[in-house]
Amino acid sequence: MALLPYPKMDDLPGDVRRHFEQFASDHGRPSLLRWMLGWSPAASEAMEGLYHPIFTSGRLDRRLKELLFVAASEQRRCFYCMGGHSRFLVNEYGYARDDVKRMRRGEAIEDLDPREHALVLLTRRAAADDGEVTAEDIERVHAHGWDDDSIVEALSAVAQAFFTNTFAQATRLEDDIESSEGLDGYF
Amino acid sequence: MAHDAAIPTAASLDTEMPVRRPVPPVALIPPPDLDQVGREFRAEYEAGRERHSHFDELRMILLRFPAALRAADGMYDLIMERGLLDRYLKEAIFVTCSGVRGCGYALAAHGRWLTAHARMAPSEVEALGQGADLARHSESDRILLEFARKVAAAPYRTLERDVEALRTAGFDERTIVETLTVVSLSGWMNGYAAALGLDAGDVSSTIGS
Repeated sequence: MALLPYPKMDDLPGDVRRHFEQFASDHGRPSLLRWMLGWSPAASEAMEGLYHPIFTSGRLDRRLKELLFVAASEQRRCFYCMGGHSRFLVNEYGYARDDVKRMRRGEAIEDLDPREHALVLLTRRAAADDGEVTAEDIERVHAHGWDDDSIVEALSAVAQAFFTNTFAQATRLEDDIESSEGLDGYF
Repeated sequence: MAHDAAIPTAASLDTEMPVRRPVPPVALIPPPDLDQVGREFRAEYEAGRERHSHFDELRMILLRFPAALRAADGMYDLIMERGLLDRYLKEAIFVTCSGVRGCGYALAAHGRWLTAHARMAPSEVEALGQGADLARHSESDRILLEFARKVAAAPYRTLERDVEALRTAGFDERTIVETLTVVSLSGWMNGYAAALGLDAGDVSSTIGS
C-alpha cells in the first residue's frame, strides 16, 4: 500500500482531471505514478514534458531508451519503474521475460547488439549510488561508434530514472498491474 | 510555511540581484559548438538562459539532445516556480539533496541562487548541503529538510512514520508530493550531472563566485 492516498477525482484541479479522464478513456486509468503526482498540478504538467518527449524523440529509438531506463531502474532497485517498463519491452517489442531480466542486469544476450550493450553498461554505472562515470567509460562507448550527442541522449534515461525511481520508492507505489505471480509480480 | 525572522521569504528576496557566472566546470562531454545547433533549439536555449543561468553548463551540454533541455527548463519552471511551497524552501531542499548525493555541481548551482536571492553566505549554503545548522530554520521547515535528506539518501527507506511527522508539522498530501517532486528533480539533475562528470571543483569558491 502506498504511503500516501491517491487523490480522488474530486480532489484534482480541472485541467488535471480532464487529462486523467481523457487518458482513462483512451488507455484505461493513468499509471499510479501519474495518479499520485495528481496532488501537484505543476508536477503533473512537468511529467507530460518529461517522459514521452524524451523517449520518442532524438536519434536513439524508443526500444533502446526503454531498455536503458529499465537497466538504470534495476541498478537503483526501483521495482515499480523496472517492472512496468520491463513489461512494456515484452509486450511492445516481443522480448522474452528472461532476456529482459538478463539485459537489465547488464548481461549480454544474443538479441542485444554489442553497441547497445555498451550503452546499457554505461547507464548502469551512471545509475549506481557510488557510480562515477570516468573518461575511460565514455571512451569505451565511443569505441563502439557512439558519438557525444548519442551518449548525452542515452544518459537522459538515467536522469529519468533518478526522477521517477525517487518518487515511486519514496511513496512506495504498488505495482501498476496486479499479478498472481507472487513476489515476481513486479517483474 | 512560516520562516524564522532570520530567514528571508520569497516575498522579501531581492530578485534584482544578478547571479554571477561561475568558473566553468570540467565535463566529460563538451557542449556542442553553438554554430552547429539548429536555430530553433538555440533560440530555446537563449530564451531560458536568463531564468536558468545557475545551471547553464548543464543546459549547454543538453543542447546535444534538445528534448532533454526542453524537459529540464519545463520541469524547473513548473516544479520550482509554481505550487504551495515557497521558492526559497524549494532551493533549500535542492541544495540539501544535492549535498546528500555528493553532487557538488548542483549544490554550487543552487547555492548560488541562495546566495544571490536569499542572501545566504556560502558557508551557510555548504552547511545546508551537509545537513548542519538546521536549527536556524523554523521547526516545520527543519522537519521537511530532514525528510528530504532521508529520501535523497535512500528513497526506499521512507517510512510511514516519516510521513506522519510531516503531517504533524502541518504538511498535507499536496505539499508532501510537492516536496517529493523537488527531491526527484534534484535527483534528475544530480544523476545527469554526475553521469556527464560535471564537477564544480571547489564548491565553496564556486558558490561565492
